[in-house]
Amino acid sequence: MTENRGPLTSIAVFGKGDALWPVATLLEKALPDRTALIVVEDDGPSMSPGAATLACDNPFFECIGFTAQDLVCHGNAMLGLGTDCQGWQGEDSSFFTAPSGTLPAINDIALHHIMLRAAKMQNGPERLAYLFQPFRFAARVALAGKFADRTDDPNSPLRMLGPTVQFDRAVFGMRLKKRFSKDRAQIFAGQAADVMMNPDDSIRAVTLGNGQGISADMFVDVSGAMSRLASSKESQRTHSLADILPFDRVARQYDKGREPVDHLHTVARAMPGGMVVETPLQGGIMSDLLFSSPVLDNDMPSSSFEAGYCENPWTGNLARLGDAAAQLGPYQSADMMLLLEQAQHLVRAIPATRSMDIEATEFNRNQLGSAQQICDFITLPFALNHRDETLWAGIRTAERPEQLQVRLDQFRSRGRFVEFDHALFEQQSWIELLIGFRITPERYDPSTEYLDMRRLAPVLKKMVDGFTQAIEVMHDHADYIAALRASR
Amino acid sequence: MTAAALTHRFGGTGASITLIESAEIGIVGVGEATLPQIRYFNQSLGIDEREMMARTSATIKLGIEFCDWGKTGDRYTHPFGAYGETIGPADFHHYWARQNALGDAHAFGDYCYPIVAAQNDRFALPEDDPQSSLNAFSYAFQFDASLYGVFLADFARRRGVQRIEGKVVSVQTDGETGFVSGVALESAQEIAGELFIDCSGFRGLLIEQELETGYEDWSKYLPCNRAYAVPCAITDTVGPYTRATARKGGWQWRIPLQHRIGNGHVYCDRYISDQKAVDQLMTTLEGEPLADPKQLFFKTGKRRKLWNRNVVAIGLSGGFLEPLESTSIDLIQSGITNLLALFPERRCAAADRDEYNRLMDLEFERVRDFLMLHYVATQRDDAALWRDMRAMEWPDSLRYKIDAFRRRGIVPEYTHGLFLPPSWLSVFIGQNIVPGAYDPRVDLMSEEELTANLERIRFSIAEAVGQTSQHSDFIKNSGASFRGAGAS
Repeated sequence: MTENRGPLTSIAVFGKGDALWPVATLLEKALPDRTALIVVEDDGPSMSPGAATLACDNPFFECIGFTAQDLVCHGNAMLGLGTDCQGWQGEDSSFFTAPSGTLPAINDIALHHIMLRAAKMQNGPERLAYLFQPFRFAARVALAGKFADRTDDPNSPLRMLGPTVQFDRAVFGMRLKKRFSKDRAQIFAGQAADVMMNPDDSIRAVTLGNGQGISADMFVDVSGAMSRLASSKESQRTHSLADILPFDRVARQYDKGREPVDHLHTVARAMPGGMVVETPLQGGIMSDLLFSSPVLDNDMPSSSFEAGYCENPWTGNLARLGDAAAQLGPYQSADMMLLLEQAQHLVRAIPATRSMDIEATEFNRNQLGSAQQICDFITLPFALNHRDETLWAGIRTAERPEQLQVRLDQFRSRGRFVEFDHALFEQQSWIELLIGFRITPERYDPSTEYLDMRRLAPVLKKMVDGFTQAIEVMHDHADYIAALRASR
Repeated sequence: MTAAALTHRFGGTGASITLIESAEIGIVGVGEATLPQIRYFNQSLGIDEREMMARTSATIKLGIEFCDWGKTGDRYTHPFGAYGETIGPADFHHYWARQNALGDAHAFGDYCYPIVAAQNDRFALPEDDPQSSLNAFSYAFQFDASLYGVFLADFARRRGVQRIEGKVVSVQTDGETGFVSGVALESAQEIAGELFIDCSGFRGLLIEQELETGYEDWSKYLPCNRAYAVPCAITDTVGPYTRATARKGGWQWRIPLQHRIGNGHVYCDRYISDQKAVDQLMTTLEGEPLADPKQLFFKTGKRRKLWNRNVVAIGLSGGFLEPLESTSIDLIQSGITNLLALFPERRCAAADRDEYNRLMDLEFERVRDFLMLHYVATQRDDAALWRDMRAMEWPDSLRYKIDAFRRRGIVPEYTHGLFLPPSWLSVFIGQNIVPGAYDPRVDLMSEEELTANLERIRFSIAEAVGQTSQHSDFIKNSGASFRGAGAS
């Protein structure tokens, strides 16, 4: 498909609501008039898509003209500051992971090096996590039950906050569907039943269950049902994460009216045989349970799960997104995060012509980078868990993604964080997570040795006091949400 | 540079830094053009830019003008700044590509402030206001590299570096670790150390002659292996840019300083004889030669490990990718920056060395691809060098970049790498690789709106350039006029 075969005249998107409409919405905004958009919504029965917790400044929201506040004021979404990881380092453990901007450095030396030196001076490098905790501003705000928006003021600690939005994926999908401009696209309901191929292995048309044929120059599958009919060898090149995420079932439920216990943030709780993500919404809690069926008995309706992602999800004229390309699970809303990344990579690589192999290559390169970044970040707490059960012990010793291993080795060796291309998470968030999950660097930056620790003490105290004062004057989390809703 | 940076970081800390230098060994000293990153280096050392300019005869550099590279008669500038501005969801060059396809004759460079300023011999410092045309650019310097060395030597001496004059005649290594433990000078003085930085030039006194690290020969990618260099008198205004003119067996540089012009002919001896090369250089000087031409020999490539045991090779001892695009000083700077970030303890942990080598390998490879682009993206058919370069086997990474741009205007982005998309765009378009197709999102804008947007950008750049001063006036008025080689 290297020759120019004329302009791209149509794209057909197949999928289920919560995954379909974000992709369809982005395409609808990006396609010029000459390219028709066909949307085929899978009308078959399906399990609830669950909830998601994403950064409020996820570029997807801006692309579609949404704000996180819109989702709170006109739906059942909730604002938060991250995820409380409970039980990962033992049954009663708790560690709040909060997206965070960079802490001020001292003489170009990151604070965790200085605190490591302080811990070593107290004969206890393992005290690093304890000594570092007061500097974890975003996490402290969350644990104090407070909330504030991020600010651009470089002198305010609020610039380090990374607010998140917790929302019901199904509700989000419905809102996008309602907003969707009907006159810019043809919309059908149905399920793919057959695929007709061209001699060059590209897809010519898809036949729906009701016999209707859907022809297009390009096909996008966000649920997997359609592309399974057209599977080729190349599309099977999957990076399996089954060793480090050895779960085979996922179940979801919504507990309407259930109140959160400690705070309003998302909780990711590790437990024997699996983990559950509980996402407080306005009016109830959405639970996403990921588990190993041989270990954990569960009577909730569940569907199969196999952790991994496809290296080349766009082959020929078929681009696979979402479940069609990857299953990463509910922790840190990895599935949703990757889907939105893929959707943005897709609109940046919309083919100019029906010859689309260069766009496919670029999309695949970018989606692979995003998938690796997300996988590194979400598998980190699994790899560093301290639970006793056989399943969790196995996870601890499982082979890790290559980039993650480099990151772990470098941090463990000298507290250095390694960045790779396609970075998605802030460096400070990584550092807090590494320290919080008990990686104590063997050494600190040797330049730290030249700092006068006695003179530093008041400087550090002033910083912590500044954080404490900023937290004291913040709104309570629930009050903030109530005031926000009342203001609209 | 290395001694200055180390003394700045570690001066007064108790760490002892010794500089061993021999006046008998000449320096290459022709790397006179820099990239904007040099400003960060100077700033990090607290160097006053104008003082440095006055001491080193520095002029401002807004980019590099390339003559005769795509075809004989072609001319374009690689600027230190961005093209255009954000006028829609696609990158600016896609909008230009559409207008270009419609027959609009305005050059891509007309949408770039530093290019227009350089063409008009104008300069003003960048502004912080993001709305200003003077915001989206940076600048570098063209200076006398020998004087810059003297300037930094003074800087280092003032901060306590111990300079020892002498030639190293032997090297001692530790029998157990293989680490270099000391060097002996011709004077019989012995100098012990824990970490050795080898800045001894191509011969690699420690990294190669002692440790036999090995060299990756990249002459199949970058075949030029010799150069003649000669300064000449200034006859006219010099312009705030370097010029690189393609010749039949290589290319010729012109680097204007305040008191002279540096010239050189880089060539491959397989394509042109030494005599013809020097004749070509001397007959194209624009002013009276101020010295005899000096011949230089080099082999493009890099050491297999830039950090081996306790020896770090910085500068020519680590590798050389030829003078095109002024990367030589920048690679020195990268070596220093990475060394400071990974500065070791006595035992030089393998994790630090491995990470340093990984980072530097990536840096060298990405610079290599960019340099190669100039040679392979040519339509010249008048000499064997250019025909061979066009027909040679390109690294996959470079082939993909060229293919992606040629077919759809895609510029693959990387987080790490010296040259960002505007640099790649300037060479692609400057050497006649115009995208066969552009991002379809460009067609969301009407033709009239696009024309108006492009006109507005051109006008605002031309207006901004008109309000700035002549380059020579800027130097004079800012107190940066050259004070003479003996001034301190």
